[in-house]
Amino acid sequence: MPVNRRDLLSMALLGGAAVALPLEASLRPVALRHRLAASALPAPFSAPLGVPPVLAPVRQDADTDYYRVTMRESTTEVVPGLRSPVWGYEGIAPGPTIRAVQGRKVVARFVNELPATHPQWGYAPWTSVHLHGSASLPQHDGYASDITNPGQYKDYRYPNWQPARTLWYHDHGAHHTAENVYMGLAGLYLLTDPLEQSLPLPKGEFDVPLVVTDHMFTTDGVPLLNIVEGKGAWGDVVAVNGRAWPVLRVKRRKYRFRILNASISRSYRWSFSDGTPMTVVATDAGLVPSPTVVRDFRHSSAERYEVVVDFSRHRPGQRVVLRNISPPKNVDYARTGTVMAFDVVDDPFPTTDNAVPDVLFPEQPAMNVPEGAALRTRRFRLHRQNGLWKINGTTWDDVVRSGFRKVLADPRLDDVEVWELVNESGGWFHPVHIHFVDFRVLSRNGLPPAPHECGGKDVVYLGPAETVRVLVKFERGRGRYMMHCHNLVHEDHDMMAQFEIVDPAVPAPDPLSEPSSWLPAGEL
Amino acid sequence: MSARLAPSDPSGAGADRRPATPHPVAVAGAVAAFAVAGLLHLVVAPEHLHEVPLLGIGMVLTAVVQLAAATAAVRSGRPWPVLAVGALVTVAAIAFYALTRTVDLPLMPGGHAHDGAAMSASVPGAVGDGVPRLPGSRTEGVGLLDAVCVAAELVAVVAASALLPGRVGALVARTSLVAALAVVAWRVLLG
Repeated sequence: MPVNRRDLLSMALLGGAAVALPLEASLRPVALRHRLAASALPAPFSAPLGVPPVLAPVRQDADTDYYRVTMRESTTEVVPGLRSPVWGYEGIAPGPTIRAVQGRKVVARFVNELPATHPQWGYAPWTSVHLHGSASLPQHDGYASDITNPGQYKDYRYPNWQPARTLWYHDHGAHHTAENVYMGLAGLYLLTDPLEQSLPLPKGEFDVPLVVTDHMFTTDGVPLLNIVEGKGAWGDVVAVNGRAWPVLRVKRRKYRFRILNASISRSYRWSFSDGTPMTVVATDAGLVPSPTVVRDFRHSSAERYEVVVDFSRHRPGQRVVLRNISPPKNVDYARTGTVMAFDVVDDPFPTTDNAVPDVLFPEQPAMNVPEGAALRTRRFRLHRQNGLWKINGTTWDDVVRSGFRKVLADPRLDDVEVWELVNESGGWFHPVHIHFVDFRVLSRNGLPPAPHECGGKDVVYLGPAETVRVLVKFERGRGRYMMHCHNLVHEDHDMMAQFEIVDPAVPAPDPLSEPSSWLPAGEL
Repeated sequence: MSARLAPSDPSGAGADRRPATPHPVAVAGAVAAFAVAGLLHLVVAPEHLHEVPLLGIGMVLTAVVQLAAATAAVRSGRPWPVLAVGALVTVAAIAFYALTRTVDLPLMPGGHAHDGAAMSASVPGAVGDGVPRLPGSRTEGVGLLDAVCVAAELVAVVAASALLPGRVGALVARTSLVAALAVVAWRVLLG
């Protein structure tokens, strides 16, 4: 046979390349080849915690505040000393905080001045702004396919009739919500009401928002999005209010922390290094009926929990670290177990608004809907099929192909229903978000909900192999709204569907009925 | 594959002669390996046709050539041009496999649910393509079928070389060398 050694060596080289190069790519994925090394990350607690600025309205009239918010590219230092590009509302991430008062409407003009294409990822960054937690009309809810191209704007109207709560506005544009939010398109919207103002909960400088995100960067500071087997993207840097592992000086009194998990995939379980308890005073839908004390709690993407932490028993000079005991099915790195630090100082402080009443909001609407009022139970299966994430076999693509008519549920106005959310897989978790409504968590695998889930919710953590039952009343609205997984990688690929609140007496507005306009814009 | 080794023959003497009595192991190896590789390409072709038609067509053509080579290897008289084409196409397939598992290739699907489906057009009023292309998203992971297929292809190339006339077998070997160097160069320069 005429196969000589030289020929065999040549073929062996091809075989070696075919084995070694893919093996190398498996061990050191292409996406991570230029990742900033863990050794190059800064020491934790080297940067002070920043707080997003409050946005001023451009004008006000008798019952409405008007805002103009521009989405644009800028740079920031999530990692101290490393300049990184960011896409932010008003060029900052998190975006500026909008403060709203119950009973006064808000009109927010969101202007898309982002680049025509993403410089690394090559997509056209249209946007759709969702005010998460707001019972907005369908055409102002950030419907994923109701988009604003670069060079366009849209005026969103927010009713603000709901009870006080921590909301957040973030991008919801079809196909690239994960990328847009990862680039920084998220900000807080704090709605207050007379009840909240009357309570002696910490206020002012002692009412601190904590917007938690996770990131990954290349050596030159460019955001690096590593989607792991289509399941999600987990960063190796944890940031609070846009700074990696910051530190906050706290006085020896109570603080209210409004914690938003704005990570696109990661869930957290918070605890303090010294076991300091946290008193849960509010959830997604605002104040809870009565506070609950916990030592740790789980927090998935898009959920909001507000806790009061009492530093009065700590020594001046003491450092308390907020830790993350990672829930299962996250991808963890060396430093993702640490979030931020609190350095206790002995500075003077006001003694007012330094308490947690035993009763906060017993009339909380979502918590007062009787389970016996439920007319029916609907079951929603969240599953993966042929690489696509689906709800009851449906994707957003199916909704699009139906001319935006396909719905998974059609409750009538004022109906009460039990929605049973089922995660059949033990391989991943889903934070399930139902737009427009607040709901009460009834049970988790047949057991009572977790202690911190003690208030109205609009996102619920659906853990591996879990079935969660929630009670929903569909009131004060009509039309088509989205429901989806708030792991934004799942949402984009394509775990999003819609339901319709049906009112036979009144036609509902179409979510696509008020398209964006091209700049230049007229008067707001 | 256990091809018997011949000493190097830089003069090329005897290069045009086909092996007088092909080793039965080489024949069996070529038949089995080409058949396995061809069938596996056929199995995965529909999925690729759906995702990226060009890739799917390539898979079908590769499968046809490899199955033809398997048939040629078992036939009496052994039509060596078919076997040679099978070996050269398989070398190309191995190189392409290595590239797809190593670097982002423009023609590969981007790992996005909407790739290849012209989904941007389904967003009312959309300007441009809204589907992100993330680094690494066009690099395929190694799966079980892939690994089995490429192993079969390597066996097929060596076995076919043993069955081909000397000069043609050497051409397959040289092509393998060039392909290996090209893949490594691509990884180093663009990876």
